[in-house]
Amino acid sequence: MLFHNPSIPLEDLPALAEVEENKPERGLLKLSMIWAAIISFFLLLSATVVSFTPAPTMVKVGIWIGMLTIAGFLFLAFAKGYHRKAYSLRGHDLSYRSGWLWHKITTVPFSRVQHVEVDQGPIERALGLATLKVFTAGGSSSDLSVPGLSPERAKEMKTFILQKITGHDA
Amino acid sequence: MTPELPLTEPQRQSPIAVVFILYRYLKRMVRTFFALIVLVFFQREDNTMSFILIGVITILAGQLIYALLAYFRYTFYIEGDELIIESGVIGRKRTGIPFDRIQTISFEQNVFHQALNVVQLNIDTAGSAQAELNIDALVRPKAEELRAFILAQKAAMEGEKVSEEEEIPALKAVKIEEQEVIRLSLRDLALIGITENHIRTAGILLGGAFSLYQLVEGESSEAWNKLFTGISDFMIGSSLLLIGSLAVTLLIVSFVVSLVRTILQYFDFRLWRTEKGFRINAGLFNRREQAAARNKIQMVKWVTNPLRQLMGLSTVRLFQASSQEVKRKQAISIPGCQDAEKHKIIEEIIPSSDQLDYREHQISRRYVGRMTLYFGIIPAMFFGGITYANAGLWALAWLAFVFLIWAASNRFQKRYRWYINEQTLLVHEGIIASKHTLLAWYKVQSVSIKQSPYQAGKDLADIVLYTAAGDLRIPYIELQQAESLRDFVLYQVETTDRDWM
Repeated sequence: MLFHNPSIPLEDLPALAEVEENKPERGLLKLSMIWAAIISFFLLLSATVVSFTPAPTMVKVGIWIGMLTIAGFLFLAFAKGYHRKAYSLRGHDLSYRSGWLWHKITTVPFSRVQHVEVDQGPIERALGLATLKVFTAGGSSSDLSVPGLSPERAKEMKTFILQKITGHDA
Repeated sequence: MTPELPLTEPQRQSPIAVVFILYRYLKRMVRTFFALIVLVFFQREDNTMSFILIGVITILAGQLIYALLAYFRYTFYIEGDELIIESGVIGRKRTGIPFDRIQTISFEQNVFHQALNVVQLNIDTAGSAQAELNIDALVRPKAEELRAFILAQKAAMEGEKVSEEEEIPALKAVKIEEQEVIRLSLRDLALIGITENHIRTAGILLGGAFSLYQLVEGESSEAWNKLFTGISDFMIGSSLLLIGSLAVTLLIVSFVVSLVRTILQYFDFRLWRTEKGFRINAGLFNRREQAAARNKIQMVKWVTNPLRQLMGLSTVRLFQASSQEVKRKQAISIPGCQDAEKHKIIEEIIPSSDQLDYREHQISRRYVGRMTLYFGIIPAMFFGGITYANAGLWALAWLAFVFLIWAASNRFQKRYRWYINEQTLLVHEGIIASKHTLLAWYKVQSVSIKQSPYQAGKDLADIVLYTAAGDLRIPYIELQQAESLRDFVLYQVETTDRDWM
């Protein structure tokens, strides 16, 4: 037993770890790759620009190697990151897990939600994806945003959470 | 229900507001044309001088007229459940603030306000768009009337929300029965100033002097440069003894600065218990009045250092919910609290938090090694390398730095304790000082568990609890423990019927 709690035995508490997780849509992997490609394009563009300056060849080669490594790492990190992302919805809260090397899982109870939003950027719209954003009074670091949802799913979740909030108030 | 004051009619501020409006415009001008003003003082050619003088007088006159216009065009009044402010000299701007969005109404008096017997009214609202609003100058009775009226209306509205049939006597709330809890005398303030962390003040002073030097350096003004070069040459030319005596001087200066700062900031400090929470009033030249409603306080901290502990003194800080991240750090500070008073204040905010059994927990020993690596060994290797290239074996001196970091992390880990019971979380930390943080579970907004690659390998994690007044992080605990703690917090938040505000 990790800590003792007189009236509610800890083992009886609903454990988040046992809840089934939902994976984001496959399109999110595509979206991540598009972002990696866009950033890599600018990285390699800057290396190309340096190639046309009268800098020593050593420096130029070094910059190329560096930029290619960063670009390669970006693709790897984004792909790995996609596979780590998952969300789970329970009766009273929403959780979102992410991060390839640095893991993070955040949970927001519905009773603390101030505002819910469904966002779609231009690339997301083209891929048929949407992001659900949940805001609390805890400031930007405590807000939750779940990417890679189908627009229908995002809307469903938003309605579900809104119902829970108004239910709590009544 | 409505008091016999014509708050529904558009009102003006006290005519003294003109002074403050003018002051603000001038300040902004001086800031914009700072370089030009400096130029005027350094180039003393008679012709240009008179030319510039005429320009300055014209601008001044223009500003005065503008300030007068701004004063006459600024009105406020109450309409329905809103405080309306209309302003703008050329364009008209109408700002409406619904009473239920108003978080706090506080008074502030700087030295001019005090001399002219007016107050500045600050209204803080929830929401990031129009977060704060100031009325420059009001005579005190009027400011108090306005505040009491708004607060009473707000209370009545909230009362209606809770239960329709219950009659809320709005006017009764106007007459708040207040009780003075703490009043600090000059002797108390001297004690607080003397027991301040002087090394920190010295660091701030040194940093300030350094950045001033850099500023001057950056502007490359001839005279300043000469002066500073002179000073630094003199210092390099002198012995270690001089550096030693400089350090002593610095400490004495810091001591005096701490003392003066404490007195300026907390002169005639008073803490009142009000119907809704607490109110403080303090300051010598800049007198401020802050209010903290009990339900808006999200976290309580109390800090003491070994010297103050000897005298049974600590500083209590009340963290209120705020929409602005910056404001969260400006908690209400109650310095020089005796233990008995401290307990009373905490009890008032989180009742009977000390009556349930607390379970004690620590953080992992691995914390020490990691902190030593990140903040000791890695920087020491980097700077040690540089030192070795320049001064050879002197680089070994960096070992002392590594040891210092290790000793600090070790002490931090050894002293760190977190305690939980059914209502609250209590964290105790500090390397030399002793800091306690108390948080009621139902104030938590959301929870995160974070793991670095190293922590993931060792099954350790940090847990972060977010509140509307800032975050609380417990580092390096077992992952399993973090998960049960999270489940416990979520259970508490999701089953409580208490509102976090």
